[in-house]
Parts: sequence; C-alpha cells; structure tokens
Amino acid sequence: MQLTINTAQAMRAALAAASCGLLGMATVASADSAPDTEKKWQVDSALLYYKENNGRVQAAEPIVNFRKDYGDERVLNVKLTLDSLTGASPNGATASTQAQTFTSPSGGKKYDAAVNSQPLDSEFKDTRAAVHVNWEQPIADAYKASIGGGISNEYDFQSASINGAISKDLNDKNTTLSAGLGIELDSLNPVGGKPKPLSSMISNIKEGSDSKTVVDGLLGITQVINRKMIMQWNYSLSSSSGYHTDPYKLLSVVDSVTGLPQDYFYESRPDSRTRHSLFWQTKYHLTEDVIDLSYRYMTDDWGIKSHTLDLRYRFELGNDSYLEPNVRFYTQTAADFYHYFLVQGQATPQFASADPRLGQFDATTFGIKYGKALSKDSEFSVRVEQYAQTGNSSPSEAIGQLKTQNLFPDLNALVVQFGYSFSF
Amino acid sequence: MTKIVSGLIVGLVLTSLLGGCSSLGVKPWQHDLLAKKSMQLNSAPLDSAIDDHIYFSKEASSGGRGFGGGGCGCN
Amino acid sequence: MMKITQWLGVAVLTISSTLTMAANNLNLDAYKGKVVYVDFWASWCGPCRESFPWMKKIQQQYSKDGLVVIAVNVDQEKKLADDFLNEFKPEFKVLFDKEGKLADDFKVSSMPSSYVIDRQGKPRFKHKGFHGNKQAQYESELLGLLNEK
Repeated sequence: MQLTINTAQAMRAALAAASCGLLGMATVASADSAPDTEKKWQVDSALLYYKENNGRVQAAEPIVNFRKDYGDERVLNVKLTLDSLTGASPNGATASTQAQTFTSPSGGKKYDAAVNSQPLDSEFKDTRAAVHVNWEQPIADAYKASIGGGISNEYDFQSASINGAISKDLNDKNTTLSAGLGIELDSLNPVGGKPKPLSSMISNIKEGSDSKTVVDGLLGITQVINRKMIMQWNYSLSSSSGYHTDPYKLLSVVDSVTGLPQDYFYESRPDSRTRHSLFWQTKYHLTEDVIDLSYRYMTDDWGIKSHTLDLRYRFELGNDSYLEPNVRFYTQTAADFYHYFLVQGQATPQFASADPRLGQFDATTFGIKYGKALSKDSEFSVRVEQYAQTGNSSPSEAIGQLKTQNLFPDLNALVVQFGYSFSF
Repeated sequence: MTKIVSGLIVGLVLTSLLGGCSSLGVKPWQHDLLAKKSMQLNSAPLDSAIDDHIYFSKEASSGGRGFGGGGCGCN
Repeated sequence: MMKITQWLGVAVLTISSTLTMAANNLNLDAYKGKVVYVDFWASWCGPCRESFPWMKKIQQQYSKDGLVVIAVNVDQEKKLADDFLNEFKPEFKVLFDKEGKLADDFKVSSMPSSYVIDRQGKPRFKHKGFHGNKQAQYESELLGLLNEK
C-alpha cells in the first residue's frame, strides 16, 4: 500500500520517461533499419523481475512497445505496461529493542515488527496497468514535432498525462535543439482515506482523496562532435503541486531519553516541489565497441541535491551479439524535512518524513547485458543488475536505544530482465 | 544568489555550445557510425524506461534524459 | 530562385571540370545526349532502401529512352555496401566514393541526394532525401527531360 504511492509516482516517471524516451525510440529505428514498403510493426518487449532483500518488494513487469513507421518520418508508438508488486516496504518507523505493533492503513488489520528489525508494512498485492501513445512527424523543413498521452491505473491511484515536443536541426543536422513539455494529473484514493498530516496513527483521522499536478519542461541540445562521437545536454524543470505525502508512511515519536517509540505520526510533505536537472551524455564509437557515459545533477526546493554517473561499455562480440557491462554511481542529500525519527516533547515540525527515498544515501548499480540479433529484424537480450543503497545507519542524532539500531538499513535489489524484439 | 549564478552559467554554457556548435560535426555522408542503433543516445528505450521506473521508486531524482538528434540524419 | 542559380552555376563548373575517367570518378561529358540521374546513397541510409526499387524501375522503364542511372556509394566500409547491393541487385551503374570527393563536388547536403542532368549536360533538378509520396513528381520531371531533344 505504501509502495502503491511509490509505484504511482514511479509510474509518473515511467510515463515521463516513456514520452521522452518514445521520441528517442523513433530516432533509434529511423537510423539504419529502413521502413520496408509493406510498413511493418516493430515490437520491443521486455519482462522484468525485481527482488529486494529481506522480504521486501518483489515485482514482475511485462512491457511491450509497438512501433510503426508510416514513411516520411511519421511514426506511431504505443506502449503497454503491466506491473505486479508483492512484498513489504519500510513504513518509516525505526527499529526498536521492543516489539512494535502497527495499524494497517485501512484501519482494520494490525501487523507487527520483530525486535531490532526495521518495521515493514504487511504484505500486499498491487497491480498497475498503463498505456502510452505517441505520434511524431516532421512539421516544416528541419522541424520535427511529437505529441503523446497516457493513462495509468491502479486501485488507489490514477494518472493521465499529455506531452508534446519539438526539435530543430541545424548545421547540416549536426546540431539538434529540442524542447518538450509534459503535464500530468494524478488522482489518489488512499485505502482507508487520507490521514491527517502528522496525526497519531492510533487516532486514525482520515479524510477522502486528493490530487497532484506535475508540469515538466525540457530544453536540450544534441551535437555531433565527429564521426565517432555524439553529445547531449539537457536542462529540465519539474514543478509539481498538490498532495505529495505518502499516506501510508509514518515516523516514530520516541522518548527523549530512552529512544523507545511512544507514538507514531503520519508523515507530511509540502504541497509543492520544484526540481532542476542538468543532464549530459556522450556516446563514443571505438573500432567496434561503444562507450556510453552520462551525468545528471539534480537540485530541488526540498533541499535535495543528487549526482548520478552512469557508464556503459558495449563489447561487440561478433556473430551479431554484444556484451554490455554497466556501472552507476548515485548520491543524494536528504530532504530538509527528512527525519530519522521525531522526539516526544519537541515541537512537531510543519513537514516531516522518514521515507528512505528522501534520505541521505549513496547507491551503486553493477549490471551486465547480453544481446544477440536472431535475424535482420529480431533480437534477444538478457540483463542482470545488482542495486545497493547505503545510508547512515548511525546518525549522530540517535538517542537511547536508537544508538544500537540501524536507522537506515541497506537496500539490495536484484534486477533480471529478458528482452525480445521482432517485427511483423 | 547561487540560483541566479548557476542559471547564468547554464545559459552561458548553452549559448557558447550553440556558437561553437557550428564548427563541430560531420558531412551528411559521414553519418555511417552515428546511424547505428548502438550509437543512438537512447539505444535501449525499454531498458531506460525500466531503469527510470526502478530508480524513481527508490530515489528522489528522476528523468533528465532528452530526445532528438544523432542518427543517420536522412531525408 | 537565387539559390538554385548559384547552385547550378557551381555544379556546372565543378562537374564539367572532372576530367579523369578513373573508376570512382564521374565524367558527365561521356553521357551527353542522355538524361543522367545521379544518386548518392549509403547502406546505413533508411530512405535509400526505399529509393533503390524505384530507381531500378525507372532504369528498366526509361533506359531505352536515354535515361542513365548512376548510384554513388559513400559507405566507409565496402562490405556493408556490397551486402546492400547483393540484397537489391541493381542493374544500373554503381560508383564508390568513400572519401566523399564526388559528394563534396556535388555539395551533397542530405542523404540520399539525387541530381538530374539533362541531355546537354546541365544539372536541372536536385532532390534532398527520398520521399515515397513524391515518386510521381520525380517521374514527371524525368519524362519532361527525356522528351527534350
């Protein structure tokens, strides 16, 4: 249930990524795979398995993209995503030397946290379905435009989005300027209703549903450096307003001496967020192999700053197959209103969240992908990644028994993805 | 103050890139390598979409990737 | 209009100054009296795959009327060009211009690019790219030039 909101917001990103990525998809195919006179559909499909450690989230996700080139650079993309989640997720409370009991969001059931272990919200199942459509075509000499829309649905979250983009080629198509705009409307109907911000879990004050609007803008420059190298620089601005709180997450309110939890408050986040991102990517073609390097800097008005560095090296193995290891380094600072816990007796802050997603941590990904072309139009691939997130397990503000607890347990996740592309 | 300064730096970088861009690049018939699927900026769009989804649900940042440019530059 | 005249002027000068008859050079003087369709293509160029069946068609249909199709390849790797030619098996003349000298002479600004030269050796049309929905237009241009004596 907590994860639902995470997935909902994740879906928003997936939609945004999809809409921007879909334009990128069109570019991929227009490169060297030609539109045959019979105008085929090209299908890209993937099946993802995701599994976290310690009985946390598991997910299976089939995703399919249908692409048709109608000639003269007019392209249609339709993407379907199905997401099925099970497992448990941290509810925001800290571990304790005493056993803890929590009320599930619906107010009915109770669930326990064992001694000295991170409380995880009880098991849940959640299924999400999403569809996104995108159309692109040239609109004037050297100008291309695209327009798209999507919807996503899960039992406590619905989302609809539209996006548009325009690009212009300059300098003999060595330079491309692009601009994109996306708007997303989210509607949330939390199970059991939306909790009163920073109210006690036991008081169970709930009220209806809520919504959120997100506007994304992007400006980009793509530049061919030479025959073997291409670069891209993007600036994005994201402004969201509405309900950002995770209605299922709590904070422990602990005794100022013993550090034992006395109460649990529902979290509360500001009703607006503005994010700026700078992204740079380069691809370099060696004799056969290709290097892909990218960096992203993000800063927002919640006080979070992050750096992402991603490196991929594609070894061409011959026989139309390749091996691509990749490594990603990520670091972020905590949101201003992030707290490991609250202290009883101290003034309750206006906003507070113990969601690890908003905390300070480093993360590394090590992955490898193998792909092989099975025919002119089809390819099979398999990808495995290991994601490890580590934060500060013993922050200096820990008091009493909290000094003996791990206040930011590591997250380890395994990702396995099978991919198959073909055309008909 | 820092916001204004960083904004100016971004603007300056982008403008100088645009100015300097006219001297970089290749002739229209030299797009052979750039036309390859492996040289597209988003060469595995489903992988990127899946990764973005996973990282968005576990981290506070998302997106950044753009679109357009590169490729064979045909028609 | 000014641009076309300038381009025609430059093209006439550069084309007519190509004297040698080496394998990868193009001497248009040898084709005086014919209508010549010069097309710059590459294996990696999507629209080129569309243009080849059409070029085969016009060559079969109009060669008896004096049409000559010359396809100039600009691939950096000859094997890729050969694979492409094995797939389409054209009967028209193919030249290899890996260094891009001919492409430079003709001021190729997009891929593919085609130039139609009349029976007097004057360049008359330039096509940037290949568009399926313009095939009728391309053909009527050729018919017009073929009908000139």
